[in-house]
Amino acid sequence: MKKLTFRLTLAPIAGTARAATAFAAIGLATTGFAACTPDHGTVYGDASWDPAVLAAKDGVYARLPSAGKLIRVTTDGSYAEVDLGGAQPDTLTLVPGGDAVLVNASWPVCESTKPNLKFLSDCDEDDLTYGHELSLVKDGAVVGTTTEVPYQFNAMAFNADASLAVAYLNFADGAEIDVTGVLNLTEAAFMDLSTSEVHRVAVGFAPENVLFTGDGQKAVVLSRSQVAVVDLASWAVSVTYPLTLSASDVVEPTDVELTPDGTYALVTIANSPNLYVLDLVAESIDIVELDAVPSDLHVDAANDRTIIVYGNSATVDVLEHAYFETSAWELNEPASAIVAAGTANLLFNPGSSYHDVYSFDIASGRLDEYRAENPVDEMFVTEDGAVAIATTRPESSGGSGVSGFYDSYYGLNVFDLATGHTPAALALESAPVGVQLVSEGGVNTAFVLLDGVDQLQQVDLATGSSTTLDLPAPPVGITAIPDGPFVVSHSSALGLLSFYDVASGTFVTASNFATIGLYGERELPRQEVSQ
Amino acid sequence: MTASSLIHRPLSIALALLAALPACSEDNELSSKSSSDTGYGGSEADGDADNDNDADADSGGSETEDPYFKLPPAGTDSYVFVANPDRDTVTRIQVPELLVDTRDVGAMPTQVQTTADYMRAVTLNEGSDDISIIDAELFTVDTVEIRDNFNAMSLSTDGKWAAAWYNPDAESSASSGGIQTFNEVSFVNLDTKVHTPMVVGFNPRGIRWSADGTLAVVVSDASLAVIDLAAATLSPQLVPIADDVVNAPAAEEVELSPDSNWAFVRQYGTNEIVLVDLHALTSDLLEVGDNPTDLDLSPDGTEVAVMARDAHELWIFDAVDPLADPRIVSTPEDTAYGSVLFAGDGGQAVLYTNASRVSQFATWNTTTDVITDHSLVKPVSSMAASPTGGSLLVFHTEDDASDADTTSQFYGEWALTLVDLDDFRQNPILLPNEPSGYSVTTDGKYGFYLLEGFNFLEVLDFETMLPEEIALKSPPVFVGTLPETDIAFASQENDLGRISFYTADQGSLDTITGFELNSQIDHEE
Repeated sequence: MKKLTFRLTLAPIAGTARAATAFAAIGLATTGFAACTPDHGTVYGDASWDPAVLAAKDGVYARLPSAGKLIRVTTDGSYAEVDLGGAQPDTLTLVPGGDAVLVNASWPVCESTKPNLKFLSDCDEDDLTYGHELSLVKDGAVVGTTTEVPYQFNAMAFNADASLAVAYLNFADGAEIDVTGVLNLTEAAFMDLSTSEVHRVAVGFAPENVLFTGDGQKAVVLSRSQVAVVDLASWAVSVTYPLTLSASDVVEPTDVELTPDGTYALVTIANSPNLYVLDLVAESIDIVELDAVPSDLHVDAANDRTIIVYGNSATVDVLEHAYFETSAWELNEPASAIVAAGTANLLFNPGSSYHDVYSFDIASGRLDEYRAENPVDEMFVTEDGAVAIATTRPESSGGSGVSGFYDSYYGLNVFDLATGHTPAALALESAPVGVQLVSEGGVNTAFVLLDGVDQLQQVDLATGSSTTLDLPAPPVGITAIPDGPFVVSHSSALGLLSFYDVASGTFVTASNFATIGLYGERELPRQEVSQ
Repeated sequence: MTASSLIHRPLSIALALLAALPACSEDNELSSKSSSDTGYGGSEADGDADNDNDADADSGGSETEDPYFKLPPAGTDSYVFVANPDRDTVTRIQVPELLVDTRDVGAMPTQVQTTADYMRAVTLNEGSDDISIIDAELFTVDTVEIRDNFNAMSLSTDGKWAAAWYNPDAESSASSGGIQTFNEVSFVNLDTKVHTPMVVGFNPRGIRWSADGTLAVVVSDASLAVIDLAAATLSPQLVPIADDVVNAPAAEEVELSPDSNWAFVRQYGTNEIVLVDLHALTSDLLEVGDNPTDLDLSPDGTEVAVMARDAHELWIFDAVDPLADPRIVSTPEDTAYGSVLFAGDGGQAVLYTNASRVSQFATWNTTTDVITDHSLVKPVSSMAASPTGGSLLVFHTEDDASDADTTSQFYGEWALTLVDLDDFRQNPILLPNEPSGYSVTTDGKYGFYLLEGFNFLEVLDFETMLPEEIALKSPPVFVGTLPETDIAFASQENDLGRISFYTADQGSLDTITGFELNSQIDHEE
């Protein structure tokens, strides 16, 4: 069987920049740590370990690509291999809440009649194929496995209680899709995580986005030129909403949000100012024509309104959910992203040259403008919504003095959302690798990792003062175990993780775990040996 | 030219239609309450912009009223129905909730009309040669076959009947081919869904329904076909209305007396009115003055007024006893008024002409028969009186009178004038382009019109006589009002379907877009 690999690249689509926040379920693996954790889909080739670790409640899971193994590292610094039956973990997905990890794994199969096939090197390349399975791993062991989910399905979403997962193909960001044999591009696969039972549902060509309704009864699936609603009791499409009247007129939905009562799905379209309002109860369609192509929208449940921002228009719109009429507020600079911050919402424009950050309270209509010293890259908000920090990047400057000085550095800007002040603007030695916020005893602290700096920066957000904690090696990522310590991944060939407990201020280090299976020849697992 | 295209581009097409087809007259599209106050044509032209349902075209062929100037809302007091001929569906929009629902009907529904009691909507499906009867509330559909190749439809005053026929003057959107006749009409009982086809006179041009719902009168070139709707079996009784059946003068207007005893027929190029006894099935000629150009029934139904333009006379007949001597009122000798328009309860009427460029109109006190001239800024294209009779809306021609002041702001421009019919204050309004549609609320408080090429719903407050513009998202093509409400709707150019609803009292505009997509929603059973 010939194995083909090709790259599917789609045009940039509105809303993809905020995919992690658009789907809370999808983004849970990186929620709050998007800046600090390498992409879990990153393939590190023959690297001994993948620093893009997942922090579950029961420990940290890490792939060892070279050895083709999965290990769990616990907070006491010990580690052990997870038995995948000889399969190698290709991708990991954290189940929301951190109770388990879904592992997409594969193993080589040698379709040869040669006797005594034991090692991978024994098999001619033309005889080599791969088996695939999706396993649920908990407490360091496989607790469920299925082969019914196509391994190419590279995106996952979960329902509210994380009892159900849905896998589908994500073509965004130039994802590499492997086609061996036949790949059905019209399916989504729903997996019951308690039984590993899988239901494959035809939902339309190229399903790219899935959202579960609040009552858990339905899933809303975006696909090319249509939106399908899947009844989760019958595992069938109950209604299909067309997004166009002409088959030749391709409409690419990019994002979907539900209104708080679950009645309406709001669907944005690539390169279009049209916001489709799908009535999931009356099963009808309305279209709200916005003033520009939206770059982000956020349903504010408390106020039963949706906030919409535009990367190319200095406006924030508020959409009410009765007649879907918009009210507009003017901004000084366009904002392209929204982050909830307590009762307000922060509007900013990551990745652009803009500096403005806005705090917008829908209920009062109050719009406060903050100014970052440099262009904003990412935004983090404390749990209580009182403080936000923005990481900034250097910009070319013709200025002199402090402005010119600051322009040449990465930075960290602190915004006190309660007082409207900007208490701190910190210059950073190098690019931030990750940021982690902690609120404890009324004190908000940011822990910041810098590229190539083997120290953890601890910043008091009230004063901007910082202290440092020594690390055993330069960091490459940071995440956190739910209700547990921070986990810092370090640049180390043989594996190095640091667990930092904020309460006690102590580090525990796990090292050399990437040596497992590093040496020795890869065997052919699950191979029936011909005599 | 399809029926729908006529609706969407009313004025320009109407003028062209009238120029080519002077015989066309009334239609049932003037009223938001369907056929109750309609002319005799389902999709044919009504000649006036007033509410009297006449054609008003003069026998010289130059006195016109814009037949599609006032567009028919396919709506009830709660719903608007939109036919989707490309998808064989009808969309119902509930107002003010703006809930959208769609049902399959027959193939290629080219017309949708609502009954006067708001209980039903009916589509004429040219692609499948049938009509679909839609329960407005339940949104259930019953489809009944009719004869082939019909392209016109009319609903009865009481909402119990639909009639369809072939109008050779209107384009057919579909033809089943094969043999074709030009003398057929299909009647469908909307309660029993029973279809009764019949043969009437050559070229049925329209249908008049009696106010009491007992009679239907099919108007053809040389005859009227009278159908007793109370009979167990429908059958036509033909009454000739011309001696020369080969070269019969076309009937331009037909009015039925409220007691359903008489039909008054004004024909092209004759100086008499044909009076038809609808029970004896005989006809007589009523003498009128030279060149009768308009025939109207007074709002209370007691009188029939005939405007004799060349004679400068109004001939007023008793609608109950039309053979009694008529009352003759002289009109000003210096102006050849050719049209009459009753206002409100009929105590006052307006006389005007659009056959020549005359910048004036006259009011006729129907009690004292005093006629008073009033000047205007420009000549008249068409007129409409508010339902209460308190206001008059005058649409002007772009052309000016020969003696017009060339320095006037209105010279060479489109314009309209609001006239208070109590004190005759005027508010002339300069328009950037030609008006393309007009509708008025039932209570007469607000009028609405569109302008070619401008994304606005134009609002006229008849109480304050002040205009207002409401911005729309895309070019409007159709305007109408929901009966018994102050809500206007404007459908707009949008591939996926767009319609806006403007609540005049509140000044609020709600728009739904993409309702055509609803017909394609796949609902699993």
